[in-house]
Amino acid sequence: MRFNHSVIYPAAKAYHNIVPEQVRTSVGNFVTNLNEPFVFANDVLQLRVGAAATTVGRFAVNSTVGVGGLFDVATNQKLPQQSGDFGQTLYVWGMRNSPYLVLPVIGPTNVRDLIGTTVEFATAIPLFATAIPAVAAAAPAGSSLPHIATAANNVSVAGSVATPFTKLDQADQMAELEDSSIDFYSMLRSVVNQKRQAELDEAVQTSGWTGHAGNAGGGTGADQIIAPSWPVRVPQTKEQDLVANAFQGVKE
Amino acid sequence: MWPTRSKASKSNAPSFRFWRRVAACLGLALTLLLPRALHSEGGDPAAANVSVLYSALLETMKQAKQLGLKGRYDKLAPVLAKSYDLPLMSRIAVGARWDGLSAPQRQSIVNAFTRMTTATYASRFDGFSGEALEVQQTVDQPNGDKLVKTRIVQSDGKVIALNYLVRNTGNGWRVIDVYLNGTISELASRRAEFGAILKSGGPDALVASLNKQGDKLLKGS
Repeated sequence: MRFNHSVIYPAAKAYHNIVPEQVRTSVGNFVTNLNEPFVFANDVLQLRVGAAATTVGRFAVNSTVGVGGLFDVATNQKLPQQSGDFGQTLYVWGMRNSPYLVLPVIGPTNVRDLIGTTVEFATAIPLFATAIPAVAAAAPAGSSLPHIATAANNVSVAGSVATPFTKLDQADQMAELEDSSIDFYSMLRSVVNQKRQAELDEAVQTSGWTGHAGNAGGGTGADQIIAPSWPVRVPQTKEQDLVANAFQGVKE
Repeated sequence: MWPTRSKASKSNAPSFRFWRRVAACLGLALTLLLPRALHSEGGDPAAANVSVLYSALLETMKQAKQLGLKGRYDKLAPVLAKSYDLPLMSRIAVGARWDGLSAPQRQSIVNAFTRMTTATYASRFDGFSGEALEVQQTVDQPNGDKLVKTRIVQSDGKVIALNYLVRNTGNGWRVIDVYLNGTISELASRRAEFGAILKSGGPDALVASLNKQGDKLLKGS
């Protein structure tokens, strides 16, 4: 916590104040677009056909019309961002309960999502470090593949550079969240759990594995207005269960 | 209940976007989003309640500088008291421990929570930059409550969803919870905070924490 206050939050505030919002938005869009292949892969692993198709569309549109992902054109084309990560995949596959953790750099998470993040990280390294040079080396003379591979490598490097700045933007918002709470740790945990549970519920409800497919592609975009996760949705977070039960029959 | 600022930064990275929305709607900074146009469902009392709240917020925002912080607090206090069922929200946020509290302790918690909530609004709704807040539709809930779906459209076109859970309390339809992006419950978050403080310090510590936050907001810090 002290490290956040003395180092991270001032840096985040400086980033927010110095860098224009449009630039920060484009940095975020760029990093998000680079992550879309992983979202797609996990949507496939979860048998969420609609979400996978939407993600392919988003990546194609934003990588081209959106100038390499700097602009999120796809959302306005009714291709909202989809959820999809390996922690979510593990949940769909049956790894439901997982202890909550707060870790340096990574922030609030849980064991399942930490495993997911680790797997994705371990997958990304060989992908960018070996696959791209291999493509370039194997390309026939005169082919444009080496140039494409070089471009892809440059993009991956740019993504590596840009990612920490998106973390700074998150930290700036974390500081604001802390400023509004009377017990920050409890507030953070509750908010993180609720938000994550909504993503997990969405995955289960739209996955072919769990037999609830048919509502795929709903997305979690900002322009989506989703029914509350309770009392309409189950399962819910522990906190929401408690509150929902408390509501029943209470009038005053 | 979820105060928002007007210039939340944008990103599509899941956690990045998430924190932007949380920060924007937890009332943490700068100016709040203001209603520019209201489109409530005619005749629905739950939607009408939210529309009245938004109208009052809009008016306050447009007069923010003239009113000052205390003026905004005084103007919004009766509106919030009528729009929200703050005593019920206090009770639910406290949870099972409520039954073990004395009447003065309960009243102290309700007063402190009401003051902090009003101070949050007065602090955040300090200007207007062209935002629109739209009441969109009402969805009946199985237990008789109504979910009023609204959205905030920022001046640059960005959208934040805010859904209100409204109950007929006997004294009219009152908001009892707010959902950020349709999923994050204000009351569930507050319940988590209240529970932690009650566990470690009891009701006196909770009242002290609520009053401390109210003081901080009313000092403009």
